[in-house]
Amino acid sequence: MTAGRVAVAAAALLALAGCGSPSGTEAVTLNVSAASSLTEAFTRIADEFEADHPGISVALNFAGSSALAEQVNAGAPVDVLATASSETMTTVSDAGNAVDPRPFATNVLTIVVPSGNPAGVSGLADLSGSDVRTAICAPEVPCGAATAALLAATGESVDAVTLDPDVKSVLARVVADEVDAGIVYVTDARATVDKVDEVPIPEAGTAPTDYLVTRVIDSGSPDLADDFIALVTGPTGQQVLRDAGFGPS
Amino acid sequence: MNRAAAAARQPWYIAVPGVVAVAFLALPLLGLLGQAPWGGMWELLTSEEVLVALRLSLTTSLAATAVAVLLGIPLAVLMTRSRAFGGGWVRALVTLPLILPPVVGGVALLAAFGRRGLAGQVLFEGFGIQIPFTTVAVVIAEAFVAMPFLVITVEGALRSSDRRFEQAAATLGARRWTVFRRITLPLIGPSIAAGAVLCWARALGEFGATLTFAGSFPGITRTMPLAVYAALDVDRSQAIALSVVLLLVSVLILVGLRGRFLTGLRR
Amino acid sequence: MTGLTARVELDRGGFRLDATIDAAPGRITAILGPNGSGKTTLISAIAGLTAIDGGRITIDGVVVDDPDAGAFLPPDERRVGVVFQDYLLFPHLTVRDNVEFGPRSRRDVTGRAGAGEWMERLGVATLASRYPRDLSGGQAQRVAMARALATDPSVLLLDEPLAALDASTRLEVRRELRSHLGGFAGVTLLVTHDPLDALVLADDVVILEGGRVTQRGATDDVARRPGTPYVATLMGANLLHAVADSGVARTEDGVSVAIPDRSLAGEIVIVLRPEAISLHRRHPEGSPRNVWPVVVRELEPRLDRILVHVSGPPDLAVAVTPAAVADLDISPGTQLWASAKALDLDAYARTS
Repeated sequence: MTAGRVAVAAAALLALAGCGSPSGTEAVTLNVSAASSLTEAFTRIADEFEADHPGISVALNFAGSSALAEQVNAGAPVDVLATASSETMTTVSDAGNAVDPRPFATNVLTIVVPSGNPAGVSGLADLSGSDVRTAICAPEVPCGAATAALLAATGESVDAVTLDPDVKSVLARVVADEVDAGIVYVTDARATVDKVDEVPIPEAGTAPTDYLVTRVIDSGSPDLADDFIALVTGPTGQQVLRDAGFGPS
Repeated sequence: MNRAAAAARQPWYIAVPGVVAVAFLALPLLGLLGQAPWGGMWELLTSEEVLVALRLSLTTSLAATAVAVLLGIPLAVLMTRSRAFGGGWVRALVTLPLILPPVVGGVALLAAFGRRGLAGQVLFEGFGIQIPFTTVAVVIAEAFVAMPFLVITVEGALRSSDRRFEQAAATLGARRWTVFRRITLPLIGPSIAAGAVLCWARALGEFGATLTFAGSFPGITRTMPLAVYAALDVDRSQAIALSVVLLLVSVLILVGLRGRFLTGLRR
Repeated sequence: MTGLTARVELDRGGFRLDATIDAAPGRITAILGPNGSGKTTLISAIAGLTAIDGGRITIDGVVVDDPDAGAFLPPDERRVGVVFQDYLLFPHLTVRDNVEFGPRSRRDVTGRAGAGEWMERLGVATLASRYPRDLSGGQAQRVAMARALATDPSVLLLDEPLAALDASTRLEVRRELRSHLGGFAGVTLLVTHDPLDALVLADDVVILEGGRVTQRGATDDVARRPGTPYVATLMGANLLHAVADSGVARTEDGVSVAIPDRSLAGEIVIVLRPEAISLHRRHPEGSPRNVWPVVVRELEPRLDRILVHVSGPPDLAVAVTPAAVADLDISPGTQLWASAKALDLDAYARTS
């Protein structure tokens, strides 16, 4: 019978995609969605969490904060969401999908230049005009919004050649030596310290980016989710974040 | 049921997957149309930001098509007429941009024309010219990704065209250039048009290679697809509206051109 | 010197073409041969579409191809017009643009006037704005002729010009072709496998078989005196090779034939027209006659006659009326007597 065959095929597909209903013998999986800039730190925190919780595995999903927020609002099976922008978290709260979002880290912006600083960049003031080719994030994304806020606070202006969709793209252009400077997060500069040089922005601390974490309302494992958040905000998680270059919230 | 209808009826193993395929292609488009903010559409379409991106998309995609036509037709001729270019390696090279992820194409273009690239280094150090982050870079990225559509279409037409027409022209006293211009090109004209339209459509939709190689800056390198992607982060409905614009422009031009080169075939 | 002289040697994967053609202006020379005899290759060499491996081609005294001297003129620099078998009219150009293509390509202004004149003369001027696919076979043939002639060629090559036409059109076009070609002062080479084309249109005939010329001469002479079984069959005649001595010839398979010319001696060729042979139920009376017992092999209806193929020796084709078939009650396997008067057969010394 055709309908029967279709049902069997659909079941097989679901099983392949890992969407089968959990059975008693299977390990419990905690789904954590986090902003791309948290990749290194959250990977280490997840390892700690799994060590403390035998039988539990953490599935990490890193992407741009906006995309993650949209997935959650669309009903994706996520237990914990960590964003790199309070505005993005607001869209999740407003949709009634966040349970008690709280800040857990901050990040500040910095200038990165190709190794050896060929264009001789010494600060934000050097990034205006067409002599220095600068890449920054598009104002639509969190790192771009932060950049805009910083520039507004300092009264400087930057003539960028490209407004990139995410901070990794900006960093990649600096690494490839296709631009003379880029504005990225300190944590990104720290992660690629062997490939780029950093030119700190003294005023950066005046406009830090807040990172927020929350349990998602439809989480199937609320207790585990809260445990994970506690680990992030506790001393162990905070130390890992400090090591990666994040500031205290 | 009358006999003609019975004869035309397709067996289920053709009809069912065929209809599924149509639904598969049509559903995402219908979804897009359904979610489009039709109310604010006109305002959005005439906004400075959209007009700038649309103008840039149209000019760069047309320029890329022109580049593809000017370089691609001679390449197709070489591939069919010259022993050296007829080999499998040229064909593989031409096909490569079709299967390469566009982002990889962008990285490859940087490796060639970036200021640390093979040719780009010479341009940069010798003349101070930097190609990335310029509108020229957008055209290059689009041409790189889209030219294969034209080359492969024209090459196929040349292979199946009757070379004896060219011989007949030669016996009538036509020199090679005259033969090429008045016989070879007109005979494959419909295929050139078809190839150019495919190429243009691909150039218009180009995203990955453009973002990687040319960057994204309004009015200079941010074409419609890049504007859609940028908008996606702030306002989903705006991104959808932009996509719908891109879709409508493509459909309008495709339909318009299709009518034209169909009449060309009939003539 | 004017006209065409061509000695063409060409090797094509096991096939060798080695033929000499001399043709004078104002005359039509038919190149007659079976399929695969090298006719099209020969034209292609003269037109410059194929380079020859050996020999020499000159047109009006100009060497256009001579591998030994390293001389080769490409097609566009030769004054050779070609009417291709399937015409190859340019599908995207109108009749007028097709015919004017040659003069325009040569930037020949008076030639464009000439194009109009040829279109007029060949009766295609009224079709000027049509496209090739809207032409009938006969019209397309005339447009192709006009296109080739508008370039004012020294040599006009017609490759099976009637082959693409249906039977009824062919008769009509064949009749017209002769008058159309009358207005052309250069050399005309007419390649064909149909002897009727040659008989009706050509002044001279060159027979090409297996890449070699096996016979050449004025059309009437070749038709009257076929030199090979191929030509004889083409012309519809029976051909017997024999050795003659004092009015009697003996064929290879031992048949005696009385011949009219008692002076012929040595190897001869006997041509027996199908109409010159009679069939009988019983051994015919009277003398002197050539009479052979034969068995009917096959009956082949022709326009107003029936061609009876009989096995001998000699094997013969005999033309009889349908009434005679009924009278004699002929069917395959019937045993009959075939007779021919000595005066009705042609015999001539074999030349090669």
